[in-house]
Amino acid sequence: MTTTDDAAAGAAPEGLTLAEPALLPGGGRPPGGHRHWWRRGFEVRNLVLLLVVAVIGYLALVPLLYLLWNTFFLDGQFTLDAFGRAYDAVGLGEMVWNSFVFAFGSAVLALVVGTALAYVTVRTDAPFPSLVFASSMVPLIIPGVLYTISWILLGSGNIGVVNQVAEAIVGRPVFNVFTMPGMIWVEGTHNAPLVYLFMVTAFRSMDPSLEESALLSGAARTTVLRRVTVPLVRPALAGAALIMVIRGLEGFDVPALLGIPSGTFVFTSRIFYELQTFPIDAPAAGSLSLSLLVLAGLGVWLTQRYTQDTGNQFSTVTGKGFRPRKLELGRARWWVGGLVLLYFGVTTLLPVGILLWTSLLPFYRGVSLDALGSLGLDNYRELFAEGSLVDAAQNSVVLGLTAATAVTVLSAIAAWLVVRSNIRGRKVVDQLAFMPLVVPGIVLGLSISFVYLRNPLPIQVYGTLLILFFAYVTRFLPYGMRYGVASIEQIAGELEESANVSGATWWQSFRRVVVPLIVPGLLAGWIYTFVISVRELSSSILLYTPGNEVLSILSWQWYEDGKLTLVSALGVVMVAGLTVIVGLSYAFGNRFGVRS
Amino acid sequence: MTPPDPRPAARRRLHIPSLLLVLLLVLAACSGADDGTDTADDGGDDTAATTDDSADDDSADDDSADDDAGNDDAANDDDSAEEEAADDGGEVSEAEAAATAVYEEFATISGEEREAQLLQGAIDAGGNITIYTSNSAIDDIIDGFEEVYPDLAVNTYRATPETFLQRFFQEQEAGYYGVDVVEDADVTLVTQRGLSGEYVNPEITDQIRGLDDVQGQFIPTRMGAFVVSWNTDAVSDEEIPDSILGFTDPQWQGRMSIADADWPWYMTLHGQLMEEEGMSDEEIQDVFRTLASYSDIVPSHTLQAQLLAAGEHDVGLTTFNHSVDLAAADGAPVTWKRADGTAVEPVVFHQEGAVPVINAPNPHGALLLIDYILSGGQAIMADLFRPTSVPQGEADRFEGIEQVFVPIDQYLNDREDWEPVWLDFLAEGQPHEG
Repeated sequence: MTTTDDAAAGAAPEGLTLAEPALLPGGGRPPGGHRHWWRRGFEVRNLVLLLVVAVIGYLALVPLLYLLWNTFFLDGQFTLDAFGRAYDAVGLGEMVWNSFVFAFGSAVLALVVGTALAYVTVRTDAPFPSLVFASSMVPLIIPGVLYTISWILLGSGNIGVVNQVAEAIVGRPVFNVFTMPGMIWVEGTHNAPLVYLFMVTAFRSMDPSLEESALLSGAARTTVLRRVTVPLVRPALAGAALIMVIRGLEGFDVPALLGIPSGTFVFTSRIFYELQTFPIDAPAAGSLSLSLLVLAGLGVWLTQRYTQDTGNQFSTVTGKGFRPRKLELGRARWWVGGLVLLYFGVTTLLPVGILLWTSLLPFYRGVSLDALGSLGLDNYRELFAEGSLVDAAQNSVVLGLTAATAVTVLSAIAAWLVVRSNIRGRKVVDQLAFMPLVVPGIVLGLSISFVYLRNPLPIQVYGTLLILFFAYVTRFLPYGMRYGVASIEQIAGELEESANVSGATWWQSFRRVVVPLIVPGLLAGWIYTFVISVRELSSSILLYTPGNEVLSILSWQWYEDGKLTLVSALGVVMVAGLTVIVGLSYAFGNRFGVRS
Repeated sequence: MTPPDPRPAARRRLHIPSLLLVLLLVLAACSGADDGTDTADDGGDDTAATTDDSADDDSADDDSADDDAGNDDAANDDDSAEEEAADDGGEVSEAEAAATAVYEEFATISGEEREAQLLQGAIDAGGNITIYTSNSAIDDIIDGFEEVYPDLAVNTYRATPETFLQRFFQEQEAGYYGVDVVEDADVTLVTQRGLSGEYVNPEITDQIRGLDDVQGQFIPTRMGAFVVSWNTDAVSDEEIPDSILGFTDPQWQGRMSIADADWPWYMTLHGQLMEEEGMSDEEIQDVFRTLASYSDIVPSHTLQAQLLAAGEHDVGLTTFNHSVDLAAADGAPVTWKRADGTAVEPVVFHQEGAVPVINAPNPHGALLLIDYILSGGQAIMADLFRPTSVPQGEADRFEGIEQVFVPIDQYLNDREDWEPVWLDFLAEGQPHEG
C-alpha cells in the first residue's frame, strides 16, 4: 500500500463523492506527524477498531470456548472420549463419503447457478431480470423444512407432481427426490441465493473495460469469461464456495427429510442424533463440529492466500471511473431468456405453488383433481385469528432488522481491518469471525444461555429478546464477514489514500469513501442476514421466553401439532412479506450506492 | 504534486504496538468472560457427576446444587442480585425450603379446601405460573386453566424434551429458579436429580391408569399411543392384519413407514412378543428387521401422519393415534381402527407426566396447575384425541383394545441396549424407492 504521487494526484474519480475540502478538519493538522504514538493510539480509528475486535472476539469466543471446554474436559480432566464416541458412531467410509458428495455436489450446483444468474442479471441484456431476482430470492425466504417438503410433494416417486406428469407423458417417473442427486438438487437450489447475492455485488463492481479490452484484442467471449471475468471475481467466488461447502457439511433439513428415508446417512444426521437425546451429547456433537472447524479454518486460510497473495489484483474499483456496460447477447438473448424462465418455473413457481396449494387444503395431500373441491381459505382465517401471530411477526422483524444491521456494521469495519489495514494479527479476526459458522445452532444456544445465566453485562439479557439478538448476531457474523471481505477486496486502496492525503481522517474516509463503494455488498449481506434471522430456529427454540415467541417458533409448534397446512399458510405469508421487505431494502439501499 | 505525507508510514509503525494492545485487551476481556464460562462448566461437571451419584445418594444433589450456586456467586458477585432466588450457600436454598413446605402441607389437604387455598397461595405468590413442556395440546389446556382461574397467568415454554430439559438443568445450575412445573416422559431425569417436589393428591391420582408403572418418577398426565394406521384409499379394513406380525408379508414391501426414534416401541413389543407369543429374541429381531426393510424411515411422527394422508405411504407402523385422528377429523382418508372398532393390537402406550419443581417460585400454582391437568385438562386432551392418563369414559378411544405400556425402568436404564439395535434395523433396511 504505497502512496505514490501518481495515485494521489489522479485520485479524483468522476462520480465519486469525496469528502469536500470544507469538511476537512484534518487539513489543519501539521503534516509532520510529531504527535506521540500513545495519543495516536486513542484516535477514533483505533477506538473503533478496538471496539469491533473486542465485540467480535467476545461473540465468537463464547461459543468456541464452551465447545472446546465441553469436548475436551470431563470433570476438569482432559479427555478425548468424545471424539471416540462421535467417530465410533459416525464410522468412516460411507457416511463421510456421502457427506462430501452431498456438500461438494450442492456447493458446485449453488455456485454455478448463483453465479450464472448473477452474471446474466448484471452483465447482460437478458430479458426478465425481475424474474431472475425473484427466483434468486424466494428459495432463500422459504424455510428449509417447507422447501424440502415442497420437493417431496413435487419429486417423490409415489405422489410427486412432476412424476405424475412425467408418467402421463413419457410413461415413467423422471425424478426421484429421495436420492443423492435429489438431495443435491434441493440443497443446491436452496443455497443458490447466497451465491447470487455475493456474485451480483462482485459483477456490479467490475470494470467492464477489462473485458472490453480482451474482446478488442480478439479474445473469444468464452475466453474472456474464463480468463478475465471469473478470475476478477475470485474473492467473492472463494468466499461463497467456502460458505457453501461448510453449509453443505452442516445442512440438516435435506439430509434428514430426504436422506434418512433412502438410507443415505451423512455426517449431520449423526450430529442430529447426538443432539436429539437427553442429556444432549454436546461433547460428541462438539467433536464433530471441531472437525468441521479445522476444515473451515483451513478454508479461510486457503482463501486468504488465494485472494491476497497478489496484492491488489482484485481491486476492480479503482480511482479510474467507469460505466458498467451490459453485454449484448444478440441472438443468444432469447435462449438465455428461456433458461431464466425455466429456472424461475422450477425453483420458484413450483415450490411456491405447492406451498400455496397445501395452504389451501384442509389436510396435506398431493395435487389431484379430487383435491380441487376441498380448496379453501380456512388456514388463512385460522392463521390471522391466531393472537400470537402479530407479536411473533413483530419480534421476528425487529430482531431481523437489528441483527442484520449489527452484523453488517461489525463486519464492514472488521473486513476493512482484515483487508485494508496492515495491522499485525488482523487475519486472526477473520478466522475468529468465521468460527460460529461451524457451531451447531443448539450448541450455540447452550453456550449463550450459559453465559447470560451468569450475566457478565450490566443489563438483563436472559429472558428477554436481547438474548436472541446476541444469538443471531453471533450465528450470522460469518456470513456478514464474507460479504464484507469480498466487497472491500474489490476497492482499491488508492481511493482511501487519496482521501487521506487530502486530509480526511480515517473515519471520514471510511464513511465517505469506503462505505458508499461497498454499499451493494453490504446490502446483499444485510438482506441475507435479515432473511436467515427470521428463519432461525435451532438456537431460538432454546433461548426464547414465553411471550417472546418469534415466527420460527410458531411455525415449529404448528408443525409439531400436525398443522402442516397452517404452516404452509404461514410460509406463503412469510414469502410474500419478506419479498416486499427485501424489495424495499433493495430500492432503499440502492439510492445510497455510488453508481446505481 | 502533493508533498509526501509522512503520516501513513508513521501510523503503520506506531500501530503495531497499539494493535498488540488491542489483541491483548480482547483476549483479556474474553478470558474474563470465560472465567465465568469455565466456572459454569465446573458447575456443569458437578452436575454430571451428580447424576451418577444420585443413584446412590439423593442428598448429593442438594450439595452440588449449592456448590454450583456458590461458584456462580464467586464468579459474579455483582450480578448475583439479578438472579432470582440466588442461593446463599446454605444446605437448602430458600426457594427449595419454601416450596417443599408447601408440598408437604398440601399432601394432606384435598377437595374444595385444597383448591381454594392453592388458588389464594398462587395469587399471593404473584399470580404467575411457569411450565416447561413438550405437550402439543398445552395451549388448549392453559386456555382452560386461565378460564377457570382468571386471576392467574401461565407462561408456557414449549420445546422438544431434550431442549427444554437442557434449558431447565442449565437454569438450575445457575441458580435461576423460575419454573414451577415440568411435563414430559423424560421428567424422570428431573426426579433422578432430586429436583422434583412431592405431589400427593390421591383423590385424583387413584384414577390414573398405569400409575404404578411409573414407579413414582412422575405423575402421569397423558400418553403417546403408538398405533398402526393406514390410508383408507389404498388399503381396505380386511387387508389389515390383526397383529404387527402380519406386516412381514412381502405384499407390504415398500408401502409402510416407521419413525426413526421409535426404539421404545420396539423394546415394548419385543417384551410382549416374547411373553405372549413365546418368540425367541432372534425371531423377534428378524420380524423387526423385515419391517424396517419394508418401510421408509421418516424423521418425525407428525410428518409420518401427513405423508400417510397424502398417499405417500399406505401404512404407518408407528404413528401416534392423535396425529391420525386429527387428520381424519379434517377429512383425510386415514384411520387406525377398522369400521368395527378393532385395531392392530396391541397398542403401545408411552406414559408422560408432570412434576412440581422442588424450588418452584410459585409452589401453590404448581400444584394447582397439575390438579387441573389431571381434571379439566384430561377432558380437553380427550377432545383433541390424546390418550389420557385418567380414563375419560365413553370418550376413551382405547376401550376394549389390548394395551401395553412402555416399561419405564427399561426406558430409563436400558436405552444403550435397545437403541443401537433399533438403529441397525433402520440402517440395514434398504430403501425401496427408485
